[in-house]
Amino acid sequence: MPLDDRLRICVYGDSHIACIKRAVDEGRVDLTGIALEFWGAPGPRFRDIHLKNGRLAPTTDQSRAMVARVNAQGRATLAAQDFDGFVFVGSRLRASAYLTPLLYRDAQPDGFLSQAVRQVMLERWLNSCRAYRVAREFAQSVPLCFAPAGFLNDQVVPEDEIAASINTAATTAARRHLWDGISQAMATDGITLLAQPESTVTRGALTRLEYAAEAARADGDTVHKNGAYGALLLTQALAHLRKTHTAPTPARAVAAGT
Amino acid sequence: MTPEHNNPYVDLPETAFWKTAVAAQNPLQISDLWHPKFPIAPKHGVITAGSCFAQHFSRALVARGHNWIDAEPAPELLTDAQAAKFNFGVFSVRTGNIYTARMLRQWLSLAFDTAQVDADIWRTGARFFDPLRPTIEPDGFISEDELLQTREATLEAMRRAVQGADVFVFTMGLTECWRNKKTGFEYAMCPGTVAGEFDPARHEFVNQRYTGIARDMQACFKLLRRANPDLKILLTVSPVPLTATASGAHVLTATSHSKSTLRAVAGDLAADHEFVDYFPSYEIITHPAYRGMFYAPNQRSVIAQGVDHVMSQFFACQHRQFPWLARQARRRANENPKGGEPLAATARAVKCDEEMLNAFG
Repeated sequence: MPLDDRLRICVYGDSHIACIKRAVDEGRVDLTGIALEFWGAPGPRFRDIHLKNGRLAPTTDQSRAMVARVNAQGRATLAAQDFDGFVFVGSRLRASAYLTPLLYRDAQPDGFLSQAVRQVMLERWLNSCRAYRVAREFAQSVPLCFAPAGFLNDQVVPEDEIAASINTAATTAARRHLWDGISQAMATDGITLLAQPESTVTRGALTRLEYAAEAARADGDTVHKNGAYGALLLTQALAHLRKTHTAPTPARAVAAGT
Repeated sequence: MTPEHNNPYVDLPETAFWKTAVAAQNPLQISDLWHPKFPIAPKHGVITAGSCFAQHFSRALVARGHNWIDAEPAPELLTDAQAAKFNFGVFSVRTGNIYTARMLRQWLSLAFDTAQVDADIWRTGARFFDPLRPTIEPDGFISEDELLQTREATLEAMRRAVQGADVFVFTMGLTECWRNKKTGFEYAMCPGTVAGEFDPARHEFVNQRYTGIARDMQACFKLLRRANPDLKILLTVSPVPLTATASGAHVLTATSHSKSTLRAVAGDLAADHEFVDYFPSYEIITHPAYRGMFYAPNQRSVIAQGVDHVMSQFFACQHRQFPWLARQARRRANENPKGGEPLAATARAVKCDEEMLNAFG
């Protein structure tokens, strides 16, 4: 058990973990009883992180350097047993690759897809993501939450692109239906979904500009989010992990050596 | 001029004479088999439908940069194998194989006609199957409603495709079919084979005849041209023999009967309509002049070389008839469309770095 009795939680992912870091730095999240670490690297370097013998490790000098920069504790590699819980954020699992096209299809007269096709799409969306496969393995021994990268940022994505690919009339119920399907699929892998909070969604399948990364509009950054967004995710994740920790599963008990 | 020099055959080209056009030729050198009525250029939108041999057309068109219409594309998340399993990208719309003229007429009536088609729905266990395309989803549908919504999506795609197309390629496959005795509704496959339940009291075997096929095709033309008055139609006949016959005849003679009837209808329709043409892929594969060289050992499947030869003949005849198409093809071949990493992807990677560096100092 950890010496200081706090829950050891690791936020893992690509550049999307930046919104969690900002949330922490801005004091938006109650971290009482939590020892939080970050581990990961931005997109191009994230691809150089590989799982070998149950341990994630950067495989290039650039990715090693980036992991060192992200993890202030000097943790060079990462394994499930290193922490009491994980929060995977982004990590190449994008809402815009699954929910957005399905919501868009709902508005098209020839867009209907059978449940069987949707199920194949969902399975492929999850299983073709390397980080999801890692999450699945980690989740066998430790509680794990996964927050896919949120919808693209409103007022940053060009309007012609929105017209061609976003169902701006998609309803809360339609989104919830899809998130529920993802949640169920993740649950079978022992993973808890962190769905994009409804309060951050606008125009059917976009993220409100006030939750976009600080300079998103100026930089044309359509994907990254800010501390306010990160706080919503982390608060939700910690609530779940604290709850889970109070009722340890046999798998966690084994992992903790009890 | 002597009498023997004064007859209609005197000035005919070599292709009009067996000796010069066929007997003296290596089979692979037999050429000029088709004088296309209209050009099919890369810019022309082409729909493919029909029996399985029609799939080769779409692949060849795509390979040569032509505008094959994929009106019901697979969701991006599906792999090629998954898309194929659910019959995406096989034909221009997800109809599955349309073997007969009546089946095509039923599809077009559903898409364009206000008259309703009295279609059955098959149920096997807890799953529902569309008798218009029983194998379109490997395990059928979860409900009748899902089946109908999926069909409606296909019909909408069909409407959009036909209205936006320049050419409709239809490969005629079979004359034998099974129908509902009471309603006349025709099934894509015999009930009870892959789904549904065969009931001799309700289902009947029909071997369609020339007149009925011609009538159905005329009705198809009417529906297609009402939706798109400029649409051209290219007919082919599948060279793939019947898997089985229910006619009582030997499957070999049944195949001959069926294909001959279809070939005759296609030829006459092309002769009767300026907007209809016939491409002889059937002859290229089946004719004795080719000595069966394009068939696999089972004497049924067409091997890849056969398909390649058919399609090379298709484009060669197009280029011969319309030399500007040949020039265009040469220009396209000389272009070198080398692509690097998309700019958007590069820009996004840079942004990822920036966002991370800003957050972690």
